[in-house]
Amino acid sequence: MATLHTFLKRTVGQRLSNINNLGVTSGNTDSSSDTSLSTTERLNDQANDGYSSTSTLGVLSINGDDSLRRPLLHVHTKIRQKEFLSRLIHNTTVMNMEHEQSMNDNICLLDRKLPKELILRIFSYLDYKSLCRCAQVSKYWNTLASDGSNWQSINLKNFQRDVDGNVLDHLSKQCGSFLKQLFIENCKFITDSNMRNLANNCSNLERINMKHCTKLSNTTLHHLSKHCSYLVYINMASCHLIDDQGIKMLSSNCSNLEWCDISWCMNITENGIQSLAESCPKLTVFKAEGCTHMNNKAAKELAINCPKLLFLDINRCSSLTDEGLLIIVEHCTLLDTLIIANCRNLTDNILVALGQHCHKLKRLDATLCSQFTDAGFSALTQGCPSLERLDLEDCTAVTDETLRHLANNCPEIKILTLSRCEQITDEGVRYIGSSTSAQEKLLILELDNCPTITDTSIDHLLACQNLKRLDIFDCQQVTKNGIKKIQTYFPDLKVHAYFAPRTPTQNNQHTTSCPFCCCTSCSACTSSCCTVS
Amino acid sequence: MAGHKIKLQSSDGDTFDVEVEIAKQSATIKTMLEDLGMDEEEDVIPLPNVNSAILKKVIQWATHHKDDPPPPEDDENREKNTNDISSWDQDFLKVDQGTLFELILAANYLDIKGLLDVTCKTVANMIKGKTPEEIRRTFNIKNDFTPQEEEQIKKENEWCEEK
Repeated sequence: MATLHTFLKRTVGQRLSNINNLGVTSGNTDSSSDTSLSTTERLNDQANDGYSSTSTLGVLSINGDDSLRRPLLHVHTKIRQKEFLSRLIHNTTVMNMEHEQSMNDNICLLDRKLPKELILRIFSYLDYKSLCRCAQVSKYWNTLASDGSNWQSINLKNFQRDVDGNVLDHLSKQCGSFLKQLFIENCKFITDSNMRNLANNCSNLERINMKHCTKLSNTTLHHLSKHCSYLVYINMASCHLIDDQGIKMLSSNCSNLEWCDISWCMNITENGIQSLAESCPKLTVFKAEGCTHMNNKAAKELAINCPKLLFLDINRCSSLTDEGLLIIVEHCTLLDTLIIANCRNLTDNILVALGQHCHKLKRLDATLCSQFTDAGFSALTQGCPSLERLDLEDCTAVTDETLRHLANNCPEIKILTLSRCEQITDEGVRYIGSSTSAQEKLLILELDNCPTITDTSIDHLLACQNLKRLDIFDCQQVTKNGIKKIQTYFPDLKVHAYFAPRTPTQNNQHTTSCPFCCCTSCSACTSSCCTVS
Repeated sequence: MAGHKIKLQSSDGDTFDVEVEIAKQSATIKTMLEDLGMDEEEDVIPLPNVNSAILKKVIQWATHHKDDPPPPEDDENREKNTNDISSWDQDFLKVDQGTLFELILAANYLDIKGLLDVTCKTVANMIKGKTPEEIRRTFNIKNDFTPQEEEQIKKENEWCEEK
């Protein structure tokens, strides 16, 4: 009752002519309410006139009856409450019938009957294409379709070829402070000047993916930092023009950043990474694939300043050595995903340290870390029982011993890549196949180019009842009969098996990429790289 | 409480006996009952914004859906999916536009989220896939753009059309 009274007092007291929705006390009818109070406040501060009303669904309107404007909290008894309610209800005029009948029947029933807020609710179910078509129907529909509440999140990825700068200019004007998410990945025609307009208009932007927008430079980051201080997510992968100066500007004002991808921005050095780390202590996801300047000094800054790091991708950061990564592993103990593929300088010290400090690790990609041995993986598996995904492609020193530790210590393993681990034999696969947890949980096993694997391995795997994919191409000793057998057992299993000398046919099956990250096997990806997004 | 009934009165003055649990799918009625203590058998809840024909439909809908789990709350990342309307609801909503819009108004006024969602989705489905001219014809909307304005608006919005 208190809430209803407060609400009525507030609304009527302000002499508004509309009471927006009696049911407001239930609190769940607010179609565009914000999840955080601070955002709501921001919107209230900045929303253009007319936008603010879109947050409530209103049909009930009160005539200018003075008695209703009197304070309501003095109503005490139940009877008077009822009287009041009845009075309130009877004073309502949802539709003025006479007025309606006097209107021309040719005029749209929808526009006549439904208030703006309800038409906007209908529009909230429309995709961009339908909204753009609605905008062309009539002047009124143009206003409705352009309403910012329809445009809180924009993903232009599917339109990338057609999107030129004007489209973004138009959209940013239209969305204004409503826009929170913008994905313009691969929209190569977008320029710094478009981004200036965007930053000017859309100061509540929280997430932006501008991967492969190759025309964008430091200027874009300058404008984003100046206007969009609520930014928590930025993907600038492959924006080659961006360098340290841009990163410095961005991080100076966007200290809320939690998610940052600077992959393949070759001009960003340890100094840029240092300023990012120093200014953004909330960073949880950092991706710097192919950043040759991601060296030990940068790693140290990241470790000291960003202890909340959960996801680190430093694929191909070839200058990094044990010295730098050890500090990260020691400080960032929450890490659940670590991608150190192609960091060939790293040794078993890293695996031992991971086992000591990062007990929550779920995914490790150690592709081509050829110095890693069984001793390291023994320590890793003992300290990281949550491991779900392990990539050991080209870890040529690894033997069956690692698989034994894995089977014994890591009951959550779902995806295991052992491609070109030439020392793996049927015995190693037996450890996996006889582990009760792997029998239940293993989804993907890549054993391609393991030359000593035979049909015996296939027999061991018949116990893994949930296996979805098995790669055994270029395993010369696996026969067609072996493959036939497992296919008969599991008709839904995808077996990738090609026999030399026939060249493997290209298959695109597992290369669907997800819009948020650069990992290429997201259809199978269970790690936080996707859940974070 | 099972079977306990209340009376709802439409704008035309007809009263309908409805089980409390069915009526409470309307958050508005639920609030009235709980906050105002209107729970005695003889109480009549006046609903002057809903006529008999529509109230009858609403009660029919609420009766069919009385055992549904509560609909999910709105959030900004909600799916824009409109293909999940059950076949019962689809049949139920095979009505003229006037009735459909009245149902939306009633669902909003009575604050029945499930009914509001499904009716709004139904109208959204009437818009989807149509050209601007087809939309105008469907809803009898007058094109009030001048040819120049229309050209301009078309240009602004053509980015989302396949080429």
